[in-house]
Amino acid sequence: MTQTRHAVLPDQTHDEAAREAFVGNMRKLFTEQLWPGTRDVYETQARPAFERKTGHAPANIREVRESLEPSFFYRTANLIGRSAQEMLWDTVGESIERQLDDLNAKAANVPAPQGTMRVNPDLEAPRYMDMVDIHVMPGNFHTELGEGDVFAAALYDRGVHHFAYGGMGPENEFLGIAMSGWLKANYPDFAPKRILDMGSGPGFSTLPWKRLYPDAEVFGIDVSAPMVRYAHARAESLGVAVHYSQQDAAHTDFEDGSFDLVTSCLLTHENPVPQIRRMFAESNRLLRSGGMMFIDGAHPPARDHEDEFFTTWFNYNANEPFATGLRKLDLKEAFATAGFPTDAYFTSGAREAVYLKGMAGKAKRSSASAGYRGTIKP
Amino acid sequence: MRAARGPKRPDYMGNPDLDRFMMMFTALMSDVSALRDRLDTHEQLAIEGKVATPDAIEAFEASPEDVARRSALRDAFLKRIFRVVFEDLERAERGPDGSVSGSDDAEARNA
Repeated sequence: MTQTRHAVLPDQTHDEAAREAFVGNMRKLFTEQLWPGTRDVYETQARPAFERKTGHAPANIREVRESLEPSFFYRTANLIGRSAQEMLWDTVGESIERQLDDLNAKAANVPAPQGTMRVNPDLEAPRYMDMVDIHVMPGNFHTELGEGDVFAAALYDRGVHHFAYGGMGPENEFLGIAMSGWLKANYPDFAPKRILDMGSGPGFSTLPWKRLYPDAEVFGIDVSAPMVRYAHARAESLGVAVHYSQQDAAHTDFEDGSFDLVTSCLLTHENPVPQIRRMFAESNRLLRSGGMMFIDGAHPPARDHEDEFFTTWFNYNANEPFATGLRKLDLKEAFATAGFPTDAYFTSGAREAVYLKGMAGKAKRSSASAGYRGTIKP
Repeated sequence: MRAARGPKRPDYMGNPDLDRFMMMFTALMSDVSALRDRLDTHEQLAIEGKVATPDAIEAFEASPEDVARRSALRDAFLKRIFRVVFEDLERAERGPDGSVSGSDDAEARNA
């Protein structure tokens, strides 16, 4: 699957395209064969060997890891996964550096925009964003390389495509389509007039909302200026009117009660719990009476320490330090603490993951998402 | 910008230099694979009776069939390079009678 072309999508030379495709194949090998294989190796070799040696089965996540460490397969599979993760950004990054001036110029000169864009040079990124580059993506989502820079967003747009080897869709939009589609199918009478997409990034989830509710005014906010600039140019090029602004989702400048729907996709699991709680409280402030907060879900809680080990590869190998926090957070409680009534809480229930289907191997349940979560302001 | 901030790279092989050599090795694989794609483009241009100049190579638009064929070649290339890794998995899938490959040297290393 190739990506839909738009004004700021990076070009590829013949060889850049070939190297990027190779990383995709390597990611696929890791996701669908190597990592699921570690579970087989664990069950047939590592766990029995550990039991023979110690007289008991691995009793916690540390002992599961300890039992696997003697396995050449386990160590090499993980290293190949990590290599693919680093090579992904390096391969795409080299291509973007070559054409960055051109991409920045295109983002700065959007012809006849229908939507708007504003950045805030005084906004400081939260401290936790400077401490760890999520996904080992150099510079994280928000680093600016210069004036009018879009590097991080171009890197993420191309990078996510190859990371999921095309499985996220030609506009990396499949998660957004599935999520917005579920809401519309289950709440057919809900017709939001103003929608806010928090942590909108390059706009993967924002555009599906506007396309599904074409009469709504749709806003996207992101703490990253490169994301906001790029998302604006991308949306305009794809013919979708969205209002993007650089803001921290914990403290926005929108008025109280000014939205019918506040949503986010793949945002919460990259944020520490105190920030997640602030975002929920801010969502509550921004919603009118009868308005809805709606987020994607984390992994379901782990059944046991073995399940936890096999579903947390990214936490330990690809800089996703906050994902466990969300997974352990009781969202029903967190919504209530943010001011939503307990009985307004709703969920889609567990859902099959839209992408990375192979990640959990034969233990299919682990590839599921815990499901969308939402609540309604009285 | 090519270096990520955050926790240091996890230890995979018990020697961080070995881990870094794997990174170099897979980067080399990427370039070999890209050369194979480029050769494939040469061949497709030849089928069309065209000369594979640098401009003709850049202008070549791979068909869905080309994309699928190249992807299959990459999958096979990866499987050949990592054969000794999959050897372990094959034994694991064969069941408890398969010997526990890799444990000998690792146990010696951990001793």
